[in-house]
Amino acid sequence: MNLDNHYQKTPECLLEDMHGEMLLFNPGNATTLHLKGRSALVWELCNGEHSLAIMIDILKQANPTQADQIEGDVMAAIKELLENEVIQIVVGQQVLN
Amino acid sequence: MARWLINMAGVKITVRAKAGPAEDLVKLALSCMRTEHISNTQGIELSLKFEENVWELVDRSNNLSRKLDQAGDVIYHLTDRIGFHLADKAKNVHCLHAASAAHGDNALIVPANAGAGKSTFITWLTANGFEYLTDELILIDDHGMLEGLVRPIQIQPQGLGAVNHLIDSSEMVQKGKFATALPIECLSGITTSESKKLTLLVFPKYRKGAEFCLQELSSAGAGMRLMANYMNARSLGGDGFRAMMNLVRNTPCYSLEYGGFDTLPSDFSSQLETLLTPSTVSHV
Repeated sequence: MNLDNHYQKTPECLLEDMHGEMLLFNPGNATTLHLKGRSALVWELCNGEHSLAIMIDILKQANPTQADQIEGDVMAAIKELLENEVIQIVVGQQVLN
Repeated sequence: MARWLINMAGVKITVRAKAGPAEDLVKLALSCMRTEHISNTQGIELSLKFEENVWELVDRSNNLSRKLDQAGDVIYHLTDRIGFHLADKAKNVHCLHAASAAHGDNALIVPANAGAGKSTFITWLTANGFEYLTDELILIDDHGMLEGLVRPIQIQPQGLGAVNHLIDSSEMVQKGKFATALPIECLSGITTSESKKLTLLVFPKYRKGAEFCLQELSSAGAGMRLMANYMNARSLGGDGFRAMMNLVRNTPCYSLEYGGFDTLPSDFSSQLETLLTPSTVSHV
């Protein structure tokens, strides 16, 4: 996974706050995801502006005692979000599908 | 030739049968559904005939013809086709792959994939005084009012042993290779095709050797399970998702794990009746 990659949310996806837990629905493939733990934060950071490396840094700064496991958690979250097509890779001004 | 019209959620399905065994079997399969006798086909047509000891079920809309040799399988496939067309074309309702039973005006639904034990569980509920609504498909509106596809309960071969002791009169049981059909009369049960208010969701899981465990689910956990059984996820998209999430937020949701009906507490049906009584249930 390229640390320079930028990601953005797939526009048509819907997020529902279920009493503090987040469910994300992609109407394009009828997939529902339960965003647990850091997945919800990673999803929020997928705004096209932050590279993967920056996202990891942001979360490490917010949770310095868990810095060791954050990179792996973020990578796993990005992988799951990509597989379910709820985020897209952005290169320059273009979205890679 | 006899014809029955099923008219639910804006979908018209005609079932046509030749006089004799085919007509008798369709009569049994549809006995609890709201139907009317008609003289000409309306909407989608499913037809059944019985010749040379073979049943032939035809669904012209899908160019599908199926030859079967056991009555239980005919009921299984006929009602499966009815459910398929309802889920595919129903208007202004949400379709869920779920069983359902009611007590008074309130209904619980049991959403689950094939093999989770929803049909055997609904058989137990029916034999224990609940009104049977469906073992397969519910149609629910945005106000939480639901109706079911009221067909004979379909029990797959591996589930038969679990419900045998609940059957009062075995002569009406229709055996099959895919599934055995239990008309509600076999269980001395009662049924209704009237709309009921959804007030409880139960997600069952039968696991051999499991202890009884009934636990309230988080909204997110219930939402995930409900979406796995939501049949309009593609066609209704975001609107359907929001409606299902509202349903979950406003309805108590439980998971049930059990290792057989003998592991259920003796007052379990009373517990469910209490849970079914709404405190302040509101929907979309």
